[in-house]
Amino acid sequence: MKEVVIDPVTRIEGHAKVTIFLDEDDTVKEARFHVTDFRGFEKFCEGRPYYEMPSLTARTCGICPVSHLLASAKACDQIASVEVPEGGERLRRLMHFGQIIQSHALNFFYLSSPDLLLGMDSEPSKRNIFGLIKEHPEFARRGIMLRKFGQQIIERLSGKRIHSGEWIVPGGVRTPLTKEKCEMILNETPEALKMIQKTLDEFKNRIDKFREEIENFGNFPTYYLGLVSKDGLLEHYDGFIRVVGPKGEIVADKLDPKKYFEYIGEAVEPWSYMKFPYYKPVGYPMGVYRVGPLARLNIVTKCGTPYADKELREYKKFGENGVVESTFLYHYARLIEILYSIEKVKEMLEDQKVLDENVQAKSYTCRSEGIGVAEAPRGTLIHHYKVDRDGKITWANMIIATENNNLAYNMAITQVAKKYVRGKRLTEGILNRVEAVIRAFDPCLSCATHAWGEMPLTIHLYDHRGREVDRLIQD
Amino acid sequence: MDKIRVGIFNLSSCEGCLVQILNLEDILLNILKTFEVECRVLGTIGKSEPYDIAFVEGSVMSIEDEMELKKIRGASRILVALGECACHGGNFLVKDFDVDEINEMFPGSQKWYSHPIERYVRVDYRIPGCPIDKEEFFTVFKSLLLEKFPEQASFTVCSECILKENSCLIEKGVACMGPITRGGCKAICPTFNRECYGCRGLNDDANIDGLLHTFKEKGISIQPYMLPSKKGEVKRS
Repeated sequence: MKEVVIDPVTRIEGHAKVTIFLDEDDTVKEARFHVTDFRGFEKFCEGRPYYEMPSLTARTCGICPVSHLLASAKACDQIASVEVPEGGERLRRLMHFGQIIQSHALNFFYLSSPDLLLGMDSEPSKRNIFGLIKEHPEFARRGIMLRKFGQQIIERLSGKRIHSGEWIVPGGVRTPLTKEKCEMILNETPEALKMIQKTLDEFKNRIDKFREEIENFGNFPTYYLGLVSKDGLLEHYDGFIRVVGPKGEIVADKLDPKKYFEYIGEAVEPWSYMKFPYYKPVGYPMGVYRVGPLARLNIVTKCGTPYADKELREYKKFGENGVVESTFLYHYARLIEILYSIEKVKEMLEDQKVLDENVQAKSYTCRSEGIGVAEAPRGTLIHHYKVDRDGKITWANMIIATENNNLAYNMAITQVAKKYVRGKRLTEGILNRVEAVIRAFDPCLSCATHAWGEMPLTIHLYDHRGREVDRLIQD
Repeated sequence: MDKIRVGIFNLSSCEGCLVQILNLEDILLNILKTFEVECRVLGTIGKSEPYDIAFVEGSVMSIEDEMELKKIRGASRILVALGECACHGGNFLVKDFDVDEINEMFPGSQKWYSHPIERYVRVDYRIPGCPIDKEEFFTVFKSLLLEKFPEQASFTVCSECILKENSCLIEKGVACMGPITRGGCKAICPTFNRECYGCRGLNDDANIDGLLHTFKEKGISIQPYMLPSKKGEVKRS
């Protein structure tokens, strides 16, 4: 068998490597996505008091710290046996919308759009944010401003844009939202709405150019998993787990997120530090499921806000039975989620209740275990802690959004490699397509390596005898 | 004249400091237009060695990290440690987790304790904080372009906190590290009613014994893991 390796993968958050295996007649047999770093979060949290966990685990990731804060704080709420006041929950949700907007904008505008606007085969030294600024300055600026809108929500609530562990705490949040800051954010929402709608329109106008990508970039049936609200609407903070099958049928609904271990199994493969979660009732590896924007829009029938619902109806035309399969359309789903988040921010801020000053409940350690689940920008995120009588962590487990998609990454890059790799020679354009499908998932490897390792992307090509016949390194 | 070449690198980190640089929204476009910036995450790598200024985020946690860091040092004129991980080893140091155990779980992972980059290479300047303060980054960046090394803040978080007229957390019986921690963060944590946990490292003339004495006087209990002595102190397996 021959093997091709891409190392490092660029324009993704973290370091990664891809290996492509060839058959005797030089056709692609399989491709694998490797995570090669290891950061040991679950280990070093042991012995720390539980109330430090939100602040500590936020450091898993500088891109989606709010999601970690939320999942962690929710686990701690249970340990403290405390019910978060409505005011606190509202502000936690508000901050999370800010997070989703900024994180999705980072992926779409900074990392992925160079491929979409400049072309998969365009000059690699220009196929990045700098090239984008030169060729499409207005578009690049829009991306920067949308990210800013999201980041400023986080900053105005907590004083800090990244790792706001001083603000989201077990029992709620530290400080209420002031009227002044509420108005500041509210005044910016019309502009943000306009920007995302314009981007969505542009994306839809160009989508015909991407027929080939939609067809070949990780286009396969899987299960889809994520949180939905109690009414079955789009949900990012709380609710129940719903699992939808490849034909759009709901295979499980109203699952208790706290019992995740009953329906999510974790397999290990010797060639990657990243674990392989699968849907237990179906088994490994057939129980491959996807999470994140694409999965979330697949498991709901409605978002719950007017503009986003209108877009959702249009979007669902790209699938059958309400299920959209192509990984490439993660981009589309991401844009709809930005739109939804901005609408929700507006809706929340227009309600005076958001200024509620009752934001934190206080308590002492009561329970020995807590499980927090939230929908991070990249998918379902689970924090699970056990503590001793003094409230010190004795055991911690985190299932990271990016990990959930691990099986699907390998299927997706295998599909892309099968389509584009011909014989023993690799070209930069092939390499970039493999990377582009990974970018579509928006893996966050800082997160995924919370326990595991780092990964820039290189492609190695090995022949059927295991000899390396070609190697392409991104440098 | 050639464009000034800037490299931004991450070792083992959360990439939050890099995101803080991206958070310079309004001036980001100008920076990107004016300089040649090399950064793997942004997809611009391998073209612009050597670097006039290299910013390194994250700590050294593996032999790959060490090799990469040494390569960067060899190619850069000025090397800046960015953030708590690069300056002090990061919050990984809260506990010296058992490396042997991890190597048993994942054979061949060759992981060490988390180390500040200064242990391996010469560092010309440090921007502390978790994450870094973007305005501070920009100020330092401008100074470095003029070949100037701005002085590190010589005041503590406590001084900035007082200027903000916050009520004192230690007075309320909370173990706050503000009196011994280097300032420059605008005392953001105490302002939001959360104790300082020393992410910017010890101030030059930090009086640790004095603070411990105060804690004792106020009846604030100290757990061994709260002591800041481990910051910057590193062990290698």
